[in-house]
Amino acid sequence: MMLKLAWKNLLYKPLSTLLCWILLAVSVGIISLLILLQNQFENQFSRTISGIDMVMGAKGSPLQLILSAVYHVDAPTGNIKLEEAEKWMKHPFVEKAIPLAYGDSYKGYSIIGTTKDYLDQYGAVVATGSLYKNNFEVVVGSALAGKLQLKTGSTFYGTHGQDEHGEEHREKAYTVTGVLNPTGSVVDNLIIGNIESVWKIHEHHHEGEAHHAANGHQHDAEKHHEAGEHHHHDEEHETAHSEAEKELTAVLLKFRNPMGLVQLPRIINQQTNMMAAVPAIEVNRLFTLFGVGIDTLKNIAWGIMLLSGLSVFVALFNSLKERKYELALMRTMGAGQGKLVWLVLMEGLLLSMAGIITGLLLSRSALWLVAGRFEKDYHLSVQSWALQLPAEIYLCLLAVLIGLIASLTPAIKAWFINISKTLANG
Amino acid sequence: MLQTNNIQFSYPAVQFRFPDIQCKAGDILLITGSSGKGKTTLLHLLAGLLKPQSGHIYIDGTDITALHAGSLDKFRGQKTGIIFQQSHFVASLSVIENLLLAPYLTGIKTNKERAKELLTQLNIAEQANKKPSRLSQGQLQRASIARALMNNPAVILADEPTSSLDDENCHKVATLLQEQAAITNAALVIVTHDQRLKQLFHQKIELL
Repeated sequence: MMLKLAWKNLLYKPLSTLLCWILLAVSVGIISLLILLQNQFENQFSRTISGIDMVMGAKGSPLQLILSAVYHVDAPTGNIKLEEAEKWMKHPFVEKAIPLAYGDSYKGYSIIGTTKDYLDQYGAVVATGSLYKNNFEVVVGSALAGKLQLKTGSTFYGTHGQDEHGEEHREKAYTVTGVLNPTGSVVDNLIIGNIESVWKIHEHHHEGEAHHAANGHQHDAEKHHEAGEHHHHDEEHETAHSEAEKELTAVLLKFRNPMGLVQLPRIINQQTNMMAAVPAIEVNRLFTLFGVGIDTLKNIAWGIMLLSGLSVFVALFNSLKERKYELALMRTMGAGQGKLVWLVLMEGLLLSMAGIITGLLLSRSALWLVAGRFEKDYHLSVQSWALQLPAEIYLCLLAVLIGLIASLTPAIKAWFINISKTLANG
Repeated sequence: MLQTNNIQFSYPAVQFRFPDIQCKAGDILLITGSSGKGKTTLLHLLAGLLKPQSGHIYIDGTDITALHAGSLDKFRGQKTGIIFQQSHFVASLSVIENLLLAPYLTGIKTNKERAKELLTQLNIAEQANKKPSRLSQGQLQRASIARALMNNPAVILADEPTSSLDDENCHKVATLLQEQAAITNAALVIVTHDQRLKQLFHQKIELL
């Protein structure tokens, strides 16, 4: 009955109730959305780097290397020579080294040439079809199979670069031999084949590029050769390319002991023209970077929440002034002081509860709305309806606390109402 | 039913010394007097809304001046029904919900049948589910009588119940109060300066 009365009192002032409710819901919603995003990002990012102690790639930005080699959301920093990389892949400190060759994509999703170790790293197994055996055979991640309508037997052409509208490698089509199980990791959004396929596709391409790039130079040289000699040169070039100039884009490494992590990155960075980046460090840097933005937004939302607390206070205070006679009346009908205090507090609490529930639903619906984009642009699946512990519990407690504090002063006033005076002046 | 003994009360500016009052079950007592003579103060004292400086008030054998805050609230809710000059209601609740509030707030089991019966007796049954703001002044006055009677109080206290009513309604309300007090066998104390009531009721005390 008391609850019903509190509820009806709120409904009796629909506008001010609505204002309090919306302010509370929006502030709780924003904060909860930020918590959700942050947790989801951090979870996804951290899960993806587990088991990768170091990434080796071409010199450039270490963060870019991590983003491209581990998460496949950025362009590669360049290529490194297989010959040079292998020296480090066989280093005694290294437990496991997974070579990656990538740079091409299909409809914006990366095609990775790698070894079976890569699939094992993320616990991916073939769900339907079979693993690739030959060149130009690939398996696709579970999410991609649905999104790109790929199934066993499908064929497609790779595109140079990450761009959806890049130049197609028309020479050779890839054939899908299988679809992987869902792993909840980056693999779900990748197309995976052997390294040789990537090399083969680019052999031709690279030569073409080399010709273009060194056009003037080569032209000069060619002019001094006869046709036969030219042919010979070409063959020589080809074998040299396949033996010594085989390239990788990056190598994922896991160390046997922490010594590797202490020593190898420094040595590689100083003594080779490759770069070693530690995912844990770079991801932390990334979190700090967008943590600043998230913190700013959170502060704004806390501000809105304080404002909503103030509006709850004003709403209850005003309605109490109008209802002073009502409360005195209830005292004459036998209600004790405690009951009136409880009534006012309950109104504040009901408002904060409604705000919290709507806010939490709001953040989840918002996330659900943007989830598709996140999946497409960042290859992150960010769906979660579960309460984010403990952050959201704190958030709820704080919102309740604000509702309580806001209704405390009106409640105390209700306790001290002078019934006789109020009724006499009524 | 209702008996007072030497009660005194003072505001910072004025002091009141009230004559002893006695009103038996089923009796009707009119307390009259011009403005500023402490009529409302006396009613509030009888209701336990104010505490006298000295003297005793007995309702149904209990000295309410000896009761503490919580038990006084409860006692008041159970034993006294109060009708005010201006009928005030909890605006967000319907008329019948307002009536049901009376037993609920005193911790008595709410009885919807009793509320309906009272509203029917007072001829406002069809207003039961309306908000108080939709009722006319006369209807509100009758509803507040119904509310005062909800808990079958031993004492009914009415403060200027007719001052805002026209002659016809005044007569109706007076008759209703009389009837209802008789039905529940309650002591009825009416505080008023309304000349029309003085003609209807004979047992009266004038505050000087």
